[in-house]
Amino acid sequence: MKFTIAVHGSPYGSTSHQHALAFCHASVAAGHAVERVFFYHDGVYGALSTTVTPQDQVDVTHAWQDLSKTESIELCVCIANALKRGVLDPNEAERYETGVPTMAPGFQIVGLGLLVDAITSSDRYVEFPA
Amino acid sequence: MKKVLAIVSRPPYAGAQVVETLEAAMVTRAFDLPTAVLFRGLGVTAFQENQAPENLGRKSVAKVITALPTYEVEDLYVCRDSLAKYQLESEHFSVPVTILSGSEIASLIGEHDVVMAG
Repeated sequence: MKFTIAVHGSPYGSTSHQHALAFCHASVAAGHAVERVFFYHDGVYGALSTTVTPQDQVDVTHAWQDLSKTESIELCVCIANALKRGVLDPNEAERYETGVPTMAPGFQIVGLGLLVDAITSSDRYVEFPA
Repeated sequence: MKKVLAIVSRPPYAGAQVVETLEAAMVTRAFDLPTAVLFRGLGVTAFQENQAPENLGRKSVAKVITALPTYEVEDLYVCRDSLAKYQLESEHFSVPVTILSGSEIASLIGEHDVVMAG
């Protein structure tokens, strides 16, 4: 089965990222496919490059990057939700003259059209709420 | 064609989720997916009259709802029990809505392929 995943909560205001990561690992292990993960609402905070995770906790940003590399999963961050929360890739940082890109490598800024495409082409859309 | 149901359960100004969920619904509709919206729980208070979002420096959720039919998001549903709980009457709403019981909401969810719950 092909899944599209959506992450809606922030890394420290919810357990949305932890549950979504566990779901993705379990899905892949069971032979299912996860092509894209969408970060929406406060979920975009998981794409911040400036987070310093306490040593005894899981760094969800790195966990997503590792998963993306090993399983070729696209990490898609909604542009409208990201900009207002300060998650900017180098292009957006330049466009809005904020001076500092804040999006971690491996994530990409996308429009919601890509979410529609993912929903249409997958068997299930699974959300992890805040 | 997959049918999308967006569910609004949160209060309108507690975070940006309600507006962002409605924006997502407008996008799925713009990309030709049949899209409905269900307001339930505290989400029904988004229909409350005389909102003053300018006091918060925020976008008016009431205006976003009023604009939904313009974006062809016309299938709007509201939970009957939630209306009663928050003492709202749908005849005062800015857009036409269909009022559903709990069991009708269960059927509505079952009829849709994709649920965006915010």
